[in-house]
Amino acid sequence: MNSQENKHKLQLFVDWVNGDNMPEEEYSLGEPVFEEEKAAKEPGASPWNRFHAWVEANGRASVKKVYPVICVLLCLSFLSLLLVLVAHLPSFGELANPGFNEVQQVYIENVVEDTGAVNAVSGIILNYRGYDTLNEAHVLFVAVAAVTVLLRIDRHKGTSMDVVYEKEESDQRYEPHHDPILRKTTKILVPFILLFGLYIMMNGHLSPGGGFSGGAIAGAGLILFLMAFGFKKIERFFGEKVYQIVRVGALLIYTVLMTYFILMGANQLANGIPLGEPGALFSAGIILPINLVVGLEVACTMYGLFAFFRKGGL
Amino acid sequence: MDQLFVNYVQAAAVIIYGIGFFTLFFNPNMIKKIIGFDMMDSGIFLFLTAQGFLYGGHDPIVDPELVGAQNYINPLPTGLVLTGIVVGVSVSAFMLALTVRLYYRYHTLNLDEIIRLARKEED
Repeated sequence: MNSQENKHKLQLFVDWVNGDNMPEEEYSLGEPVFEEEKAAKEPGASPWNRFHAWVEANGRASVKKVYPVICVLLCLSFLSLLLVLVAHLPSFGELANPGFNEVQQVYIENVVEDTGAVNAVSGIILNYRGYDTLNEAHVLFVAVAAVTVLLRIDRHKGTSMDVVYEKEESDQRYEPHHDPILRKTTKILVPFILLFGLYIMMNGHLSPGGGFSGGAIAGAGLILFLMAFGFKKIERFFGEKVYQIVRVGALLIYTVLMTYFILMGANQLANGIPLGEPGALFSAGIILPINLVVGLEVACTMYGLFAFFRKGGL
Repeated sequence: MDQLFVNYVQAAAVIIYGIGFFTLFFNPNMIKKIIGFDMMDSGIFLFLTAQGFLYGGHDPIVDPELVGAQNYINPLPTGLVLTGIVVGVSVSAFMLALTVRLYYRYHTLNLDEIIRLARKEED
């Protein structure tokens, strides 16, 4: 008897999970009563109901009137609170600030010895806090993937953005016009821009710069070329295939390098990567290759974002 | 109150943050909301870098002849801000892509209008 009851209950539960055959007599709560019906049954019975009815009648208009005032008041009070806080902060640019504690001292004094990089910022972000920066590169990768999902136009495979292509205002129909001044300037400038981007990437451990800023400059060079010559010309050396290979390959190399580095115990243990002489171009262990790889990744990201917003594809 | 003028960089950062916050709340236009969001980002970055500044300090490129941490600015906030900038770029690119999709669906950038149209669609 008992086991049969249990079986019945189990069957009920399975049915409830499956969402069908819901037995009404066991789960019924009676007739549903909505707030509006209650208010309609006894109009003006309580202040709350009258307020409710008033909001129903002209709520949105009054909210629209009150909202800017509330907004200004809220923002001004918030801003003044922040300004009061700033007025109570320790003085700007003094050595007595709490930021200048042993953390900064350790970083500055040990960065050359530990990482081989003269530039302390590069040493921190790519060596001491390398795991953080690895995930930052992954964030960039995922952002481009998300933009691709949202904005891709592929007329052969049929995506949800295809409607856009048929419209007159679609950017994909407009390739740049023949502009001799822009083209001549681009021809002269773009090699130097790409070279300068490469220089900043490779000098990340010696001077201000590094993979992120160098990659942004190289990406800007690619975008300038694209603006002047159009998608057909740039596909000769930087088509979709090359773009995907560089983007995925750079992140893969970065992940493998960083994983090896972390598993071998980072900067304190012997990991087989020579640090070299501080101040030389080929020094600082993993920082130079990582800067190069990050630069490629960022350049591809910048170019990819521009291309997807402009045309919905490469 | 004098301290506010001593900390003028932080004060400017907070004001930039406030302008961005106000734009994010007040403006119904989606693109301007995103611009406000980016301004909030910039305010925070300026504030963080200002915390690491030191009068008379060199940039944190270690010179073997200039020994001692008190001669250099704090490199840690700079590194953090670099991370923040990259994440900010990613987030604003994603928001802009979503806005493009919303525009192609509702043909307006006004958020109130979009909400009204979406409600009407649901009914």
